[in-house]
Amino acid sequence: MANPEEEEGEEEKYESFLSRVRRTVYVDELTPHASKSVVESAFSQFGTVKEVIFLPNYLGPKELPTGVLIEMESEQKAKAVIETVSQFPFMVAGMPRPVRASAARPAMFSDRPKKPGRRIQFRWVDPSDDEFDKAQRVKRLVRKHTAEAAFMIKKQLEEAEELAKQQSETVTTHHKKFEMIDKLTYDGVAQELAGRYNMKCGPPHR
Amino acid sequence: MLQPKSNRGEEHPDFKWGDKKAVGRTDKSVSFYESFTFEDIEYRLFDCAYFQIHGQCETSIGKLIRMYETSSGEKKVKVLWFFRPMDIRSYLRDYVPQWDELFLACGDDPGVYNINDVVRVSYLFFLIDDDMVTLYDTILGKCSVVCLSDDRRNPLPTRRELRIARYVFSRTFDTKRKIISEDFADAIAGIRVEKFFNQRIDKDPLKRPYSSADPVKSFRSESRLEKNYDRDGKLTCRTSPVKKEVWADRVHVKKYPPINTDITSRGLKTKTTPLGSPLGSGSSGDHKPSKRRKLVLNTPDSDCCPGPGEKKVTKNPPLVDKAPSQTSVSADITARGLHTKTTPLGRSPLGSVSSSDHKPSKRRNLVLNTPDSDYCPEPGEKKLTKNPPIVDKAPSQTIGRSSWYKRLNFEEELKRAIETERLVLFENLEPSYTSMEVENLCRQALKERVDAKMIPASLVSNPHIGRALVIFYTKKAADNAISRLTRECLMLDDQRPLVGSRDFPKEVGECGSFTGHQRLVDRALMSISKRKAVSTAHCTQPNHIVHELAVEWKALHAKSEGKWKWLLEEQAKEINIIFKRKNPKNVRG
Repeated sequence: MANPEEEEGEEEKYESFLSRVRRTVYVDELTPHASKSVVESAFSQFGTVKEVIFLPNYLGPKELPTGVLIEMESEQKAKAVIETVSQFPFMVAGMPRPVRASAARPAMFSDRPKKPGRRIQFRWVDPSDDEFDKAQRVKRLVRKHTAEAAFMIKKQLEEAEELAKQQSETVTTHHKKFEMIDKLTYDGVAQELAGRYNMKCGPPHR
Repeated sequence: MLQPKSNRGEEHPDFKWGDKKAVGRTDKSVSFYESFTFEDIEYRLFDCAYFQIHGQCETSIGKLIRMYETSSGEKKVKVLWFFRPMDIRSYLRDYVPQWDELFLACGDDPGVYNINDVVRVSYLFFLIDDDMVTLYDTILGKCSVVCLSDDRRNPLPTRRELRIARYVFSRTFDTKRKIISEDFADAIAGIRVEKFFNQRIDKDPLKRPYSSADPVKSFRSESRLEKNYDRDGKLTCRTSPVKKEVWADRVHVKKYPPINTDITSRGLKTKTTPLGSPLGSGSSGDHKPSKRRKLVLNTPDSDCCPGPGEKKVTKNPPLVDKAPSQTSVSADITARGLHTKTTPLGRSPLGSVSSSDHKPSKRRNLVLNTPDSDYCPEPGEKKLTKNPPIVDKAPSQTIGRSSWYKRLNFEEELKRAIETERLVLFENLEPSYTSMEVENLCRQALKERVDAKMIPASLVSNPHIGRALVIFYTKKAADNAISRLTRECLMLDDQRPLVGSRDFPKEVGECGSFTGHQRLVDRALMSISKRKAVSTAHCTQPNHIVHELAVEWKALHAKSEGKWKWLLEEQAKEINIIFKRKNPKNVRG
């Protein structure tokens, strides 16, 4: 049994960890090209950034966007970040896909202290026990859920790809139009046409 | 209430100009007036009135800052609007306004598109010169709005005035920058700001008839009484109408009584400041904020936080009496029952008598004591009683083979482990487990020493199920573990059977690509090379093409979040069915 002093120490540690959690923002949908300094300077617009921790992606598919934990100075600042980023699209290191911010949870931190006063308990269940059957079903269910989650992620990545492709087409067509118009005005063609049709047209710039 | 519009200078029976003030400089036919009477109500300059704007259901409140008649007989009045909290709700952030609080508009940028979501008829809420209101069909009646700002130029209202007043304001809302501020610039809309503050007409025997058109509700007057004043006219604290504390006897008291027993409410709303120290530390001696906190804890107060709070009290010696700080502390104590807002400007609305360097952080640390007591992590001692005794060993946090070669490069380890097939994925752990705990578990349950790493949670991970990657020493050990976990059943706390498998991606590689970023957009609009990874991060402006694209992404985010939520709910239900649990497992990592 841990003595009360140790327990108290644990509690305090956990408390300070929790306050750290509250100060932290979890940002995902971030591009893996963004380096730590980029992220830091991006979010320092909101206030001092104390720490930036990148979350490793061990199990997810490779294309999953990066998640990062950003510790701000205070809970208030963290909330401000979350609010702003949720309301207005915030770009980091690229456009137009915005990042997403939400409150951090303790389970996101790899270096979290253990919950004070918790003892790991376990037992090996005998096959003859009635719980055994239930447990086996749960195990199968857990595997099923993991597969479902993986499938969901895959689907969402596909949707993202589609949207990106769509937007790329839109952007290219717009760009082409602008280029064309630009060229025409520059060459004076637009002015000529305007003269013929008796319409107004701006002077050629540059 | 709607009167027929008469723009043409026809004589309206109910309308009569008061004293003429001036004639227009550029256009001599325009005459400015100091007051007018409409429907038997006299409106003077800088009075506030209700307006009914066509298309809106709620009346708008504005201050009449200029009234004149043009040459064609049109009677116009220039109105500076007040925002109701509802109008600027998206910009309120942490600030919780009172029921009767308004915000004075300021800022000189119409920026219609920027505040589209704030007001429905945005163009009317700006301070541009064409922001005129045609009188007849819109003005409804007078309204008494009193200014409670701490600004030096503002004489604070008397108790009586406060009681009569319908609304209060103490902050402005800048329509261009969309922020609420306590600062008042020298002029708003070309008018000196003193005119917007409360007017002191000591010499004038004619007192402004505030109450003539305005029925005063009784409950409002109660909330007025809750205000606390300082002798030199500074408002020391404000309450929200929800908290019923009677301050009447404390008004005009120069020195506060040492201890106040009026602290009743513990449901406080507190704001953090950048200066505040973390809750957990009760020990720092010279740290000013915590000193203040300790002092408060020592005052006899039955409502003061029990539990861990008490522990802290007994540990710290009571502070020696310090003269000036004492009085302000008791002011703090009285402020504890209140709704406080600290500002980074250092000028908190709870201005105290004594110390000019009274930092908001102290106030706030005071107030934060109570929530402490509510937090007490429950020791998770669950016994499965009807089952054979549980092996319960205190996990030794310190001893562990891995501690001194502290997973310096887990990714490397991982790669090697995958190659040699020593890696196992554990699932259905409790999400709040730490990697150390997992290692201990393996040591005790499987009698194997392992390296474990809990997978950090994310927005797309199941919050009820924790997973960990476990590296065994030998392939054989890994195989044994898996088969044992599959054939038999290792049950953890809260009826969680551990699942072991080899279901992980065979390659742990770096994520190379990222969809959604358009190079063309970059080049055309930002002209920064892709390799340098754009370092300018910003929020998009709505007039930019990027904004629309970004909004589409946001919509996609929202959709996927919804889908995840649904999926997790279904999954939780399925698990609960098996164990026939009525309430879902409420384990939050």
